[in-house]
Amino acid sequence: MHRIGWKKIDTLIFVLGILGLFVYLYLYPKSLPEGAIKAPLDKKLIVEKAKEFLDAQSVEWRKFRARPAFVHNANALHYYQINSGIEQANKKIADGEVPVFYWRVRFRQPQNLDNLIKVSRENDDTAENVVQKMTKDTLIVDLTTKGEVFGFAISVSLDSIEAVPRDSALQIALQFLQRRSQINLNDYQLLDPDDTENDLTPVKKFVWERNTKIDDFSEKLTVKVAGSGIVQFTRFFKPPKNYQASNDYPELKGLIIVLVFVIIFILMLVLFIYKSRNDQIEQKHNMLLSVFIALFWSIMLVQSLLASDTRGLLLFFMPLITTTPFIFLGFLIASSLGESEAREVWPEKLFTIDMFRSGSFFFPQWSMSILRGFSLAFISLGILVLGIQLFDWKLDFFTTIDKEQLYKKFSVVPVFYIFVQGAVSVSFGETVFRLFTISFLKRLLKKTVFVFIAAALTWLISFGAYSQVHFSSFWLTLTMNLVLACLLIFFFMKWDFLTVLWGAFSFYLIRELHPFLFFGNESLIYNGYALWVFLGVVFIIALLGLRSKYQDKVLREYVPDYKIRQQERERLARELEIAKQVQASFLPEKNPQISGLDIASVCIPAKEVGGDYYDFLPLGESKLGIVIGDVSGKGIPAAFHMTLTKGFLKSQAKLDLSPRELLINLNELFWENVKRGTFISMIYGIIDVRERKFTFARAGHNPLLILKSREGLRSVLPKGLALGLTSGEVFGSNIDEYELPLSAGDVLILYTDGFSEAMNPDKEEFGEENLEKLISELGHHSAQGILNLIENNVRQFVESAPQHDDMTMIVMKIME
Amino acid sequence: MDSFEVSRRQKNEVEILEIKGYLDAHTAPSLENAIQELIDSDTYQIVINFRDLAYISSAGLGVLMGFIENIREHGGDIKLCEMNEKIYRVFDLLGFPKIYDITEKEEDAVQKFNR
Repeated sequence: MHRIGWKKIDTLIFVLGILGLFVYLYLYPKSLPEGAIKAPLDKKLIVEKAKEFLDAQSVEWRKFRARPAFVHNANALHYYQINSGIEQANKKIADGEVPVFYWRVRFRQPQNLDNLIKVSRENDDTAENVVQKMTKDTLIVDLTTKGEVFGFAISVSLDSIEAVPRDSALQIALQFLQRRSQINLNDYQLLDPDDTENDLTPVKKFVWERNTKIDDFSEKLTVKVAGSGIVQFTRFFKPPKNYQASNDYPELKGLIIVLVFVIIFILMLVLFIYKSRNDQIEQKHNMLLSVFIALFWSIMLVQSLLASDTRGLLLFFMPLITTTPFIFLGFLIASSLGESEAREVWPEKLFTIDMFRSGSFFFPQWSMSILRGFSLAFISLGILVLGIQLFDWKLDFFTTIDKEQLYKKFSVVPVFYIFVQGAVSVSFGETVFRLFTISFLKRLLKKTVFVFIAAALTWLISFGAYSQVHFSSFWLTLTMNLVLACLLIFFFMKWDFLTVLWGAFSFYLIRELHPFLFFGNESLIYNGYALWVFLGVVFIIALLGLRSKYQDKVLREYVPDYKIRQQERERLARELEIAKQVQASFLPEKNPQISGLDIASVCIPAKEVGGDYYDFLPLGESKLGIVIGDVSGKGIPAAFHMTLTKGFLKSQAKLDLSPRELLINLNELFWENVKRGTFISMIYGIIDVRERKFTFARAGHNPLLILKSREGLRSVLPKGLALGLTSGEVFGSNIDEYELPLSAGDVLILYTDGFSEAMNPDKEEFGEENLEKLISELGHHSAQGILNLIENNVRQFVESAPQHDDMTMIVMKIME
Repeated sequence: MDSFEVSRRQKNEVEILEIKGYLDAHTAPSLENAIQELIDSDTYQIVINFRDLAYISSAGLGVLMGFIENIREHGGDIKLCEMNEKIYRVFDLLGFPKIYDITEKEEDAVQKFNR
């Protein structure tokens, strides 16, 4: 067992998990709020019963579409639960006369937008209330779970109805009631008519009341007569006290929740954009995952739309088209951010998922995550039912049933619907609140205890009230869900993401599907079986996986693309830095010391490496060779050619050639060895300090500048083509050698076009004229002084504009 | 990003490329492609009109050099015309006028082919 890193805590959680499962299985039937549903009839049968009834009433229903829905009287349900406890309440409701759970069949014209909007919120209203909200041409029939009609209503146009006197109407109503044998009117008391009713009122309303003697319920029996027909018959059972369940949290808290959500969302959006720009986001897998989630979402939506009344292509596809892209985008942001954050602080949390991505599906760590996930789910379920048992009625505490969910449960293939919904909501919830939030907090706070507390707090103020386990009191809902959330947070921080993902998902599935075993409906029971078969298969695969070969973390570690790109960028940056140092080593380390000559030089590459070159070649005591060159293009290719040039030059330097001869040889070497299209401009000269002369030749390079104390500045531009432009003959016949006599105080300046063409933000060039004008005023400075002043001047001119070309300059001053 | 455009037209069996904007290391490939296209269709008499060119870098000059040998072997040439002063200065410094015909007017460049 040590092979898979089994620890004491694993034993503990597995024992707790098994305990939790047994507690849940044992207590669940006693704690199941839906336990009293007992819905032996299926939807088709219910609709048939409703139609039979309408036929008996001679009501025309054939032009309508019948939609059955399973609803409940929440007030009555909670009254029972609070006064008797859930187990007792379930018994009473299942056997009792008061219809707490019942079917409501609505008959409606298809494609009615009004109906579409209203249907979602109507529920345990009495038929009377509903009928007032109804649009015209609607029928509803309420039936008990056994299929007995206990209420119906028809909306009618009042114009065509002839008012009958109240007495005659009463007779009609009584006749109707007499036909319904289970109603003994002796127990009831007829109430006085409304003040608003008079002889001309087309619809006459009769209300009887009685004490049912069943658990102190009172009953209100309403019959409405329009003309000579019955348009409404409803029985409404009311407990002695109002127990309106409220899932609604106070407005302020709702506002806080929305705010926190908005803040988290904005934070995620900003981080996502930031990280995307810096290429810290894995896209391929998360994109695929998001497509799946969006697909699941649309399947879910289609199912719930099929279950609702929606008809008409546009109405049907609108929600699909408008929401699915947001789900896709939302999940893409959540998952890629969650992954990126987690990878930064604890990549081991993603190990199992990375293993899947690298194509490995069978290894013990995976099994352990799934088994721990099971434990997490079972412990949570145990806590949930224990909570219901412990706090039950004694603390005025009851579970409520989500009406929408119930409605859907009986309206579509439940196991499929719940599976898909679980996949969407659990992946979203766990990615945002576990993977992203906790990893983000970990990065900020570092210390485990703080992270745990902060994660719980974040969850508390954002998600608590949105949780799917509802209790009557907001605070109880929050407390119970906080306990469950802390478990999730603990499991995530202790183990990994797959653990909580599976834990939350299996918890969700069990909570939603296990109840189907208890609804007493044979046609739905398969949903419960499907759940346990599915979980059983996963469990067995996980157990088998324990025996599989342990995967070494180092060997198979998955590295996402963006990490590889990041490492590649870092590697390139390092290589480039090395290249920069190597190239710098090809330039003179310091200026040569030669008596009678003051020398300063600089080379500032625009990128890490560049194509400018300068060098000094010692040619004896009083002579010095000076070279400056500029390779076409820039960056790495230019740097290669610059290096080559230096090699060529060194090979020629020892041959005691004149500048012109040297450049002719260099051109020959260049022309033979370098691809067409690359050239280099160059000046090579020899300064003779004793003879006071500078002999040089120019190969397409910028002019040489000479500043004489009396005559001022002059630019010298002898004939000459750049190296590499053409072969020997043309080159040789077009290059001149020039000899400049020098005297003390003269300044020689060689530069590359990086100086003269330096650009400011407005794309204006510094310019040769400007450079010459500037230099002509600097004669009295030292070589270094002149160089510094020029450099400063150019920098001031350029301002914030990026340097676009290498800048090189050599300044030489003849001393006394 | 500075823009660069090449457009093509014909005059007396001479292909004229008009180039416009900034010709540097980034935009050089589009001129390269344009000339390559001409060579692929066996067109070797080429005039490049620099009238609307604002800037040329050494990489831009390299493009001209890369093709010239091949074109001349086929009895053709690349002739350059209508450069502004600044651009001519760049060509002049490097000694291009010794290797290329550079004329002030486009028709003179075309004429040189027809002679």
